[in-house]
Amino acid sequence: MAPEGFDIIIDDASHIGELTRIAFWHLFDNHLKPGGLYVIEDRGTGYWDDWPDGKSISLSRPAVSRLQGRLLSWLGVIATKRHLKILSSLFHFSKTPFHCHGYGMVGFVKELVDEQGAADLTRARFDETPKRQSRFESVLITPFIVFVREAVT
Amino acid sequence: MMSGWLLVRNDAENGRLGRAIEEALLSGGPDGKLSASTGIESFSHLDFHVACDIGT
Repeated sequence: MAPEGFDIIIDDASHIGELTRIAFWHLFDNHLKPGGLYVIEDRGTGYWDDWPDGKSISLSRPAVSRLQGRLLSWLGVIATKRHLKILSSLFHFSKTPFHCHGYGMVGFVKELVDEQGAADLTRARFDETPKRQSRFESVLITPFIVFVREAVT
Repeated sequence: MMSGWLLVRNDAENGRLGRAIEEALLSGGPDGKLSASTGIESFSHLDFHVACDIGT
């Protein structure tokens, strides 16, 4: 069956993040053709309290003063890389992670986002050479479905 | 003429997507040109799967 691998794999099975993750990496690494498409259904279950590994959370932004908020809005529009040092010293946000949902399928999809960024993920600095490129050509995230295209190497 | 291999992982009890694809393949699809040249295999012990070589 599929001696050169599958062209398309669709996962509409458990919608449990860890199970979907295990299936994804096994099938992606061993049974998807280079350039093939892997489709993951119903990524939004991770946002639901009544799903086994889902959880609803508030994504409201950390409180900032009204003045800071206005300043950030303005700077966000005009700031470029040249202003990084000034901005970092003013707001101390350069090492602060975003408040981010990571449960169930949602957390797994964010792992895929990290893999898509493997070239930057595998170097600690801009001037270092990436240790490897992403195994993905692209990841398309829609409201319900995620499409992962395998890279052709 | 296009063809390719498709694998669908689907829930065994509520495998609507897999069943819909299987029915489409068996009926030839909307324009009657769809076919599964190798037949459709299911693996119910692993949840409902469809694996087949599709041609149009």
